[in-house]
Amino acid sequence: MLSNLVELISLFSFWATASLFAKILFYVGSLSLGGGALCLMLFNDRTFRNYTMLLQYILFGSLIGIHAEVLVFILKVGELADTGLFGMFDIEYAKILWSTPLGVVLRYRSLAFSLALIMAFVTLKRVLRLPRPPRKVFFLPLLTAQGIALLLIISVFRHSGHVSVLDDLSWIAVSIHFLAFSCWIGSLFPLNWILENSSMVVAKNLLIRFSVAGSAAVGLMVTTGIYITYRLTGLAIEAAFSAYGQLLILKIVFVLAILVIAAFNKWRFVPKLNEGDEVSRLLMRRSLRVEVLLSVIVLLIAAYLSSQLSPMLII
Amino acid sequence: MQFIRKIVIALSFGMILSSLSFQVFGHSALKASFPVKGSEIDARPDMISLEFNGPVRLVKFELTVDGNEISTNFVAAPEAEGSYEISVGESSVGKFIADFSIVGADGHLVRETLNFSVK
Repeated sequence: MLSNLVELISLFSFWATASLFAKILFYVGSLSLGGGALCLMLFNDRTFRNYTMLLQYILFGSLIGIHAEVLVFILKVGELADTGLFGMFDIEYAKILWSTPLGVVLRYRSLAFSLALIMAFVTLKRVLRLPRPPRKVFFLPLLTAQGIALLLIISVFRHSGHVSVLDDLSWIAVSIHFLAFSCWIGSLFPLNWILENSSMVVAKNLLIRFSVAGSAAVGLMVTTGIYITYRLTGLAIEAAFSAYGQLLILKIVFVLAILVIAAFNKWRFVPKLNEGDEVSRLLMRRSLRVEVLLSVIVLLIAAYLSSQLSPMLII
Repeated sequence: MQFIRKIVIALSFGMILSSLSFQVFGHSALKASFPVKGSEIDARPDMISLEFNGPVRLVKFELTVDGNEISTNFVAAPEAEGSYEISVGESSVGKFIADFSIVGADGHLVRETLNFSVK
């Protein structure tokens, strides 16, 4: 029974699949930092419930992020030890990998998520003791911590990942790409909450403002995405026939699908949002959920591209 | 709840498909070696040399002859280097398999195998 299970797991390339899962958890943590910060600053209804939800979102996201980083590292230790699941706790191999870029990633990113976690926890405790909802300036220490955390996370792209072997401009491009995606997609969950729990007038105003920020994020993502793709593949025709190229095209298709839905939201669903119109609220919520679902698929592809495949050509 | 279920299903399918459909490409790779990969040589080598397509950290090296482990002077590299030379201890002739792992400049862990035979 146990041997069958092991055989089945090995068929699915256990270490690769587990690493992919851990990477997605890391993305979830990053989305909560980016989206959480943006919504705390700009897209909230200034109620206790909304602030509490946002702080819990950052709190749990950071917690997931820390676990993801530890998981990524011990999975690599296990893959290296090659002695089954217990190999993940092999101290000798852990020591060896600690001094490689894999160790740098673990140290920087777990520090980043820990910082955000502690600050979110402290801020949440303070919010719960306040007699009335705080002003924006109250969240400044947390926002600063989140900013530092995000900077620590993107600084790691200089040590690990395909872009780490390229120049500074590529590193800046991938950092902007990552931050824009984190802020944009990370805001969808809190916005969905607003749509479910706030008045339609507030939701409509926030969504109109968000569509402006979303357009800026999309512009940054597309520009930096094209540049990174050029540096990694040379935009060569042959690259489109490699596994990396095909998955990259698939990722672009899903991103385009998100953009189409975002356009529908902006020009069709949001203008129809009116107090008491439950149909338009339902349509908007469904649309946001589809966006989140497609984003999960994009994250999955991004995780696979960055951890399992090589772009083959780096110029 | 139904929404979360959809996400979980999408994730599961994606993971399974991605694991099965695509071959994993090495990020850093072995460029050349002595003995040459897949070769058949007359004398047992005292040294195995590995040359990579860029600076890598050699973090694991295990050598077997017909399944029996052979001692080497391997220690995990403290710095990334483009090539490595590993002394081989006493061994019989037969089918040699060197199983080694490297961490490339991009931080990816890659496992490779070098096999050769000694007549």
